[in-house]
Amino acid sequence: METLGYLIDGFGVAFHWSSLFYCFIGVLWGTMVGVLPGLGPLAGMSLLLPLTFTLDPSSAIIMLAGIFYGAMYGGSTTSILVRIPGESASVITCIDGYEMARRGRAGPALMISALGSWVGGTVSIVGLMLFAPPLAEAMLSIGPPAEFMLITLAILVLGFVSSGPAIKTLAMILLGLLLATVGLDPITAWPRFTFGALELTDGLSFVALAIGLFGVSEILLSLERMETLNAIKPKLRDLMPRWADIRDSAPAIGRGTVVGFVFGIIPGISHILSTFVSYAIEKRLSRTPEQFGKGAIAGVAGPETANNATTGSMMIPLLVMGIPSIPSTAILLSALLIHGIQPGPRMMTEHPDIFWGLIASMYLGNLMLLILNLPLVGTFVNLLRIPYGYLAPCVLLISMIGVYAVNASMLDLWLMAAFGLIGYFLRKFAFDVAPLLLALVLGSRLELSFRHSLAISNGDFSIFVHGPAAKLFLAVLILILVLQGIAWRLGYRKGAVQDVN
Amino acid sequence: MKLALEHWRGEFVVGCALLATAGGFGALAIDMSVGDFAMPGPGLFPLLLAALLALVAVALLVRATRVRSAATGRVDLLPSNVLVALCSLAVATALFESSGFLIASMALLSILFRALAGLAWPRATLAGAVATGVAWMLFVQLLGVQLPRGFLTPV
Repeated sequence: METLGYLIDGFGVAFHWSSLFYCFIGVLWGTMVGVLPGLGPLAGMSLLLPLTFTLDPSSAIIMLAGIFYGAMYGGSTTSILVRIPGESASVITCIDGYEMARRGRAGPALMISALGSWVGGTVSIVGLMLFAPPLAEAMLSIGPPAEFMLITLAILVLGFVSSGPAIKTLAMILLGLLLATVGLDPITAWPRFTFGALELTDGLSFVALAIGLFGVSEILLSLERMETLNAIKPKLRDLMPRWADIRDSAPAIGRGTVVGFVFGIIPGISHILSTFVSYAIEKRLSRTPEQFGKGAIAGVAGPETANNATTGSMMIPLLVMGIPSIPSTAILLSALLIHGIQPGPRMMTEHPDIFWGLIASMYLGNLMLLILNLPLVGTFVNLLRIPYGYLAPCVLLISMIGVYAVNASMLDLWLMAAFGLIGYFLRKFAFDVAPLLLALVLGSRLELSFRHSLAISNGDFSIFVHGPAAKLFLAVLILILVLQGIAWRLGYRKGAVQDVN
Repeated sequence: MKLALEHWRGEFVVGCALLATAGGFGALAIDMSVGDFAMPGPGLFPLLLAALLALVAVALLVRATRVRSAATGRVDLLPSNVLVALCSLAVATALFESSGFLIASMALLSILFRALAGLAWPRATLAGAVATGVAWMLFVQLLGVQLPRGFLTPV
């Protein structure tokens, strides 16, 4: 009952004209970056992050979250119409979605994908609403040792589920943690690795590194495969699915929602993983598995629902524990911190307007996306006709503006360019840069909890394995390993994701 | 001219770079107060991380040499359009504060419209000027983003 009261208050925030406006801008921009290959939610959010500084915190977070889940919607459009995933979580949709489009059934594929996305997204917000408050209460009781274990767990899980070999992921995590130590020591204020540069006392700019590693490197990689895309353009009147389509999709949408929500809690590439698992489940349960790969609508409905169902559960670790599970939610964390809001168990009590306003706006945003995506699909397809030779320079310019606007720092611009080049090389040799970025965000909290714990225990390391919280986190680690095992058993192949990355 | 590197060699180079990074951070961390585990100093955590990174980097080097015999394929690096994009980005960054946003943006866009979109220089320059003007209106005038004004700075 109390939750319902908070949600009603949240709708009060979400229905404010500025929240509605920025939510709309967010989902529209999110759909656009989701549609355009080479731009994903991370680049889309990074580019608009500096523009949110002048907004009130609620509007800023609502807009950025809108980009995040809007990109999941947009990603499916290119998968279905061009056979190029606009976003990595839409890879699997290429298989049956494009086959449907080739057979003149692009409309139903897009419609079912949008409907599934809406159901998955909306149900996962209900899950977020139900699970977040009790989890936040439990989180309030944990001390520095348990916090250290929790962050270590989150980072270790990244190693298990990342797309690359574990040793490469571990290297990226350690590099990220090491880079996080640049700046003033959080306890003694001793300048570390700053080389006398005042600009480095606050540490390396997260925005510069995020845009460099993901945005600039992605542009450089895309320049290597510049090609004109030929998209299938569906007519609005062809969008309506047949009764058989709805009958075949409904169970897949239900199962996709559960799979997406459960896998969304796992840090790393859970949004991609969930689509592979959902596809495998649908193929196994289908009476006509031979139709998969030839335009089976359940092969579109399940994965598309699953990737959108992860968006709600991915918010749980971020909002309740302050731990981002993928780089896109790390941008949200960064935005919250810039606005002076520390995500974590106290957020619900200290900033209920932002927490519940965000949840309420996600309901509205998902509805906007459903309305927006279907009639405007032709417009979004036209975006694919913009030659990359025009698009890439403009994105580079916006990246520069975005990075400079944060601190008015030339050092940040050079960092962006340097990390763009570093990201390009790392990705060329199959190093996943997402763990680096997540470790960079979590590094300072990890260090603080580590040092506080050791100071409390007078240097005794056994403090990290005592207590119920540590045991709980160990149990969670085992559960995640089991889920990962199930994912492998159902035919998920890391190589497929690696190809996409 | 096209640069290409065998995959294992690339991994080896990354391993060496990581080892050097770990060495650099480790050496600087030792110079700080490391303290002990009961009272950790500012250098302790980076030192531990640098040591771990060095171990992982060595493991990467070993892995790279082990897969050397396997056919891991060659990786093409920095084709001409990527190189042009990187150089333009560096030029624009260098000009950004000294000459102002307008000149830096014009330089970046004109070069890239010429190199990537294949426009002739006059059209590339014109397109660069128009896009710069739109960006200026949108970000500076409409959204209030503070960008270096260069020659527009009031004397």
